[in-house]
Amino acid sequence: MAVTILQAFLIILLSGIRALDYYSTQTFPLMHVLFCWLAGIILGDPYTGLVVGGTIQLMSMGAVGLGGSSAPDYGMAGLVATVIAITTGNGDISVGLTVGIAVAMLYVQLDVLFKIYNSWVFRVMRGYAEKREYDKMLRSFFLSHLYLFLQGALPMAIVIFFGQPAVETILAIMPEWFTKGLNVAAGILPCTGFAVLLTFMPLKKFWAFVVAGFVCAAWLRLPILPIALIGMIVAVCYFKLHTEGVAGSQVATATDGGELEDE
Amino acid sequence: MSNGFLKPKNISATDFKEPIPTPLPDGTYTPVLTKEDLDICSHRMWLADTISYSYATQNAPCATFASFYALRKIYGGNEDAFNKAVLNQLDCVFNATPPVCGLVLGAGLALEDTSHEAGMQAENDLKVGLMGPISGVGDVFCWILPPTILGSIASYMATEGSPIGIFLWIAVWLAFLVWRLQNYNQGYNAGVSVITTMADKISVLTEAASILGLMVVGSLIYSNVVIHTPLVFTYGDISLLIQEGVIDLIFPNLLGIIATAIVYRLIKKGANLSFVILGIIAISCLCAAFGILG
Repeated sequence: MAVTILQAFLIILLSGIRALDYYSTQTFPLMHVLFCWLAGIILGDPYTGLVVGGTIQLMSMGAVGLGGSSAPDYGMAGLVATVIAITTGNGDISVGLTVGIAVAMLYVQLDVLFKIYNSWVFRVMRGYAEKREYDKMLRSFFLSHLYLFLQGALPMAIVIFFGQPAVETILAIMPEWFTKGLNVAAGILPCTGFAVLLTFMPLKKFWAFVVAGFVCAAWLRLPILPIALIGMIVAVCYFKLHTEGVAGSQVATATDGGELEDE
Repeated sequence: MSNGFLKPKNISATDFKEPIPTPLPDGTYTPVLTKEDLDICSHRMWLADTISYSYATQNAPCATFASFYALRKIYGGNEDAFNKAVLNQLDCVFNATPPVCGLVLGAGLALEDTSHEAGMQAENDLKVGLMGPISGVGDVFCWILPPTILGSIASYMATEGSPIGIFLWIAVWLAFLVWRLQNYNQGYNAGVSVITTMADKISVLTEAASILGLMVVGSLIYSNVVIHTPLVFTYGDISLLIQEGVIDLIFPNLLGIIATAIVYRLIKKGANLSFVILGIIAISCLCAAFGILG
């Protein structure tokens, strides 16, 4: 389907806002499915938006840039995938997903660029602070916001204006084993997110709970919510046991601190 | 006294017309920050979060931006001390999970509010010392649990064509947002001694949260990593589907676990995530072409 100017504008705006929100206001962080749905509504096909969004959301699970690391931006992938899936108009969403993931991976490089750009913003801010021009210092803070909005909006503009013919050409020359392979890859890729997540968590100490979660899902067939609740029960017990075990020393230091404060 | 959302109305960024604060006999100062001032810090932190992340001082510009007007109020007409405080904030490396970092930064402001310049070093030590522990808890509660639990509920409902799961996720997150938009107060009121003595408890809390997180991850490895092989084992008259007849009976989704374990090892050894993803796509195409996976 053809995209009207208004639709293109709204999609580009949405993409910019999503990128901005992920780093700054974090009001809808990591809600890829929400943004895909919104993109679907804008383009007049909310259902495809939901399906693509749900798929991307599941694929992205665990892919979070913790501690300043850069992760593939699945939110961008989802938006691109939704736009491609709806504009090229074939029921198969795997092509959209493929292009989306490719964009997400290129996008990681932009993320590194952004953090380098921020070093410059920092120097600008510090320069103004030294000169005591605080108004300018506070204003230059928003240079980062501006860049991030563009980082989300510009790639989307390219996709929306040039994506459709490019994807159709790719589709025409893409061999069957490649599309099949991408479908297989879409199933395997979520493991990268979990693997990254596990490197951030105390796996050595608590590996048994990964097994417990797996058993609950694989053999007991429990949905995610009860598993999370069981995990919560264990976590609460663990917390109680360990804080009450060291309660004596805790109380002692707490009162020490209290006395100091009173003086 | 009424305040704006991001800026107190009665204070300017550049005009230093207030009286210079005078110390009490013991060298400390009377605290001046009110609940509204700290709310403004939280609002400004919400606008900033991790937008200024750089490889130099990480989120220090965000912390500065958030506490700017609080510092203005603390130092009043003392322009030199204020300048020193702003530069100190800019130069102190800081990076914590944005929605919860107000707890540490608020406690730091409490120090500066009573000790002014004499408290800066202690404030920096507090920030650098606690940003790790607070992020340990914050990352699990903000970036691991909601996207995995609420995210997978939302995804499953979405792939069925229903947006209700998305609304659920938004509702939970907005409730959290209401708390975070004033969380400098908790840090400020708890004060440094409590926040610091909590550090031991925080490590237990992090571990408890990790247990919950790891269980969820374990279940998701089963349900989200999908690897299927159409291979058939034939021996004479007997033909056996490898996946349904062998693997699933012994160990459901064994291939998913193996894949996750391999990728985990690779990343632990410092492999580039982009190459790992490209590698997976390449291997998938190869295996699909030869009918090993599909």
